[in-house]
Amino acid sequence: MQYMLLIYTDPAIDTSMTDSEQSELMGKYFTFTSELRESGAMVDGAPLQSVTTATSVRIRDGETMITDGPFAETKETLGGFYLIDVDNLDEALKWAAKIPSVHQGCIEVRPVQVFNS
Amino acid sequence: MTDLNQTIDALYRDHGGRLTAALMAKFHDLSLVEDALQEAVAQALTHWQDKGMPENPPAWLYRVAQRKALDRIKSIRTRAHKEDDLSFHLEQVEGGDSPQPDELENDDMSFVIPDERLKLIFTCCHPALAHEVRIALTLKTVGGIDLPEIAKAFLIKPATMAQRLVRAKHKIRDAGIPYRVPPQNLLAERLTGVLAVLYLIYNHGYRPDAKARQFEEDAIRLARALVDLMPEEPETLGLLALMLFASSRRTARVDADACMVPLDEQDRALWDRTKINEAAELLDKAMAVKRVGPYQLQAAIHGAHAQSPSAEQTNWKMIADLYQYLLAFMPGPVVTLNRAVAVSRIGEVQLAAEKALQLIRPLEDAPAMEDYQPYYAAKADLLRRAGRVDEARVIYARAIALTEFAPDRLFLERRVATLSGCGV
Repeated sequence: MQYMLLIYTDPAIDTSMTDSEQSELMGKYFTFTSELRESGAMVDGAPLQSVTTATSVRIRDGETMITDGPFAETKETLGGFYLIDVDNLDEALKWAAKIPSVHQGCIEVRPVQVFNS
Repeated sequence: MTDLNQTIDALYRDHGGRLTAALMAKFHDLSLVEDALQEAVAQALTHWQDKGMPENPPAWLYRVAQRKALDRIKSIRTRAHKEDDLSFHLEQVEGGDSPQPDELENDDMSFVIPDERLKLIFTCCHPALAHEVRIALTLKTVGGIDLPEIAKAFLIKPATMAQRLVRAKHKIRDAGIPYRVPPQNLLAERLTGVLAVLYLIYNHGYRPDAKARQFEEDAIRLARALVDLMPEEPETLGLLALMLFASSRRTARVDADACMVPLDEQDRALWDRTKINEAAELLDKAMAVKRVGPYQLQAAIHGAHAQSPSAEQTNWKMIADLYQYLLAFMPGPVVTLNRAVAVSRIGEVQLAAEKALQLIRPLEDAPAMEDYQPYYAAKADLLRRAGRVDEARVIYARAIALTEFAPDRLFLERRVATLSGCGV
């Protein structure tokens, strides 16, 4: 079963990190990604650029609206994701708990919808 | 018709959890399983009316429900034009042995529905489900308790509760919550939630009505199964010990007039020594692990009562200390209240009662105590012991107004009757 592990972090924490802290975090992500890949569970994954680079698109009554951001009220924003393929939710939660950002931010675990067609 | 209805109701209460659990092992979809079981029960009503009761009613329900579930899968899959998948699924589930309802007249008496309830409990208590939902789902699917009753216990509208349960059942299916007893590395952390749920089921069985008895026995049986599974886990041992200690007093709790008898006035000859001895043994085994927890402490408190030769010889000091220790694990007004009651039994009656009343003063404004019957019953008793008759009368009235069960009400009314004039 496929699960999306959505990584939510507080951008304020990310920007306040020193260079050495940042490279330490990068190293942890590198180790985690290797472990995930070697287990055979990894389908895909990537970090996202800052939410300040985000653009939202909507079409309402035929009119396309393009806006800067999403300017959500929440402190934590989507900072990256992993797509994994494992047996069950317990396995997915096990991997989610190993994502380095789990200690500052939060990992949302969402099963991927499958259509039988 | 009414008789048959009652028979089927009782049958479902006794076997519903086991049926649900066994069918879940095959279908992994709680909504599907519950719907299929409901259909089977409906069919039983007409079928048994015409042809009489089958020899093995739970087996009949199991097989018919299995057929109904397969029919449902078939109709869903047919609509989705997925015949290939269907035949695979049917083969997998049926294993070539699923008779039609009509073939069930001479059903095999020896057919035993496999006991998969532990899997069902661990699944219903999965941490990915909201806390309240875990308890409600287990009570309903494993404990066989009616949804309105659960809703009432949670002070939630039945429709809202039903909606939450539907959402939870879909999440179990769609989010891939595994139907299993967790592997060793997850077992300990998952157990805490399971123990809490079992204790709740047990408490439901503590009620004085005859129907509740089943829950008490169910909870004990499930706790036994857990002990078999985790014989070294002290809190599981502690929970079973706690249940057995409390259960040993069942017949002594109510007298011939159907009046509740408080612990220190019970006829100790009526206490079930077999249960007490088993509980004591379990608790010793748990304590030997040297990892104390709330269930072991509560069991130890019950054990102090159970093993005291008379009410007068009860070691209330030790009981008060155990409650103090329990507060570290379960901080809150209920334990504070129980500790105060223990303190009220140490030393001179009036002084000790006053001391206990001091201890529960902070609970006056606790929201959890506002409609909590045991709080008022205990407070009234403390006031009575302190000789504050007029105040006691007011609090007794409040306690009686909040009392749900007749034996408790009769007891409180009798206590009020003793108040007039002479004080204690």
